[in-house]
Amino acid sequence: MIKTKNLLFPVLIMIPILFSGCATWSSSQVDNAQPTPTGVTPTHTSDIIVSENDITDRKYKSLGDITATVNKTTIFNADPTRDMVADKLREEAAKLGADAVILVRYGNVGISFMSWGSLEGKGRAVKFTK
Amino acid sequence: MLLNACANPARDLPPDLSTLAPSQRLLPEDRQSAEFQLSCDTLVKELDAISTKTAAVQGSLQQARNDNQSKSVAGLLILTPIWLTMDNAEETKKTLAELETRKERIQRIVQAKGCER
Repeated sequence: MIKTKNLLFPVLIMIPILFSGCATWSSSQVDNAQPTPTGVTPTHTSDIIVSENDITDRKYKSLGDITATVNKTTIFNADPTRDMVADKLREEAAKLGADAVILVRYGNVGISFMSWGSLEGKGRAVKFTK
Repeated sequence: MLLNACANPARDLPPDLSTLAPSQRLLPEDRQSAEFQLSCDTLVKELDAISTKTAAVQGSLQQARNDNQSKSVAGLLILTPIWLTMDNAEETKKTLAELETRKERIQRIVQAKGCER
């Protein structure tokens, strides 16, 4: 009985650590998506510019507003970072065929109803026209 | 409410002004703001000051976040009522949102006026 009690605490600690192989999970949505007459050709995520500012030296058209949230799996995992959210924004923008995500803004990491630590980011996916 | 401690969603995106020239991408309230009357030099200095303040407020929020995280673990493993001492940092979040909103407005005005940074 004593042995069982002694084991309980380490086991409780180990379970989240074992599951921490999947340290984060994410979700995203696109609002105000603009219809594209020629269909969507996905872009490579590595080609997509992510900027907290507007782009003024090139013309562009808006494709949609992306919201991405990265959540950590357990309380013991590291908090999600802005880079992780930016990568998720890139992924979604790539599906829309975007060249950049502009006006990106981030929330602050916090406990939410779905996660022990979540970070939200929003940005506008745009395609350069010239 | 408790589980929502310190969570702060990203601010909403501004309206789409992509059809306008960069110098025209201003919101109606930007033209009415006190900042619109400022010179380029002052605007750029304001932007720097806001960035410094924003970094300090973000640091403060991160500290609250770290404290809450420790309390979450302690509450989970030792004493649940410790969760009641978590700091929601509502005032700090409000200050941060105001700073970021002002920063964005000044950035739009700087862009519209063609100020060089």
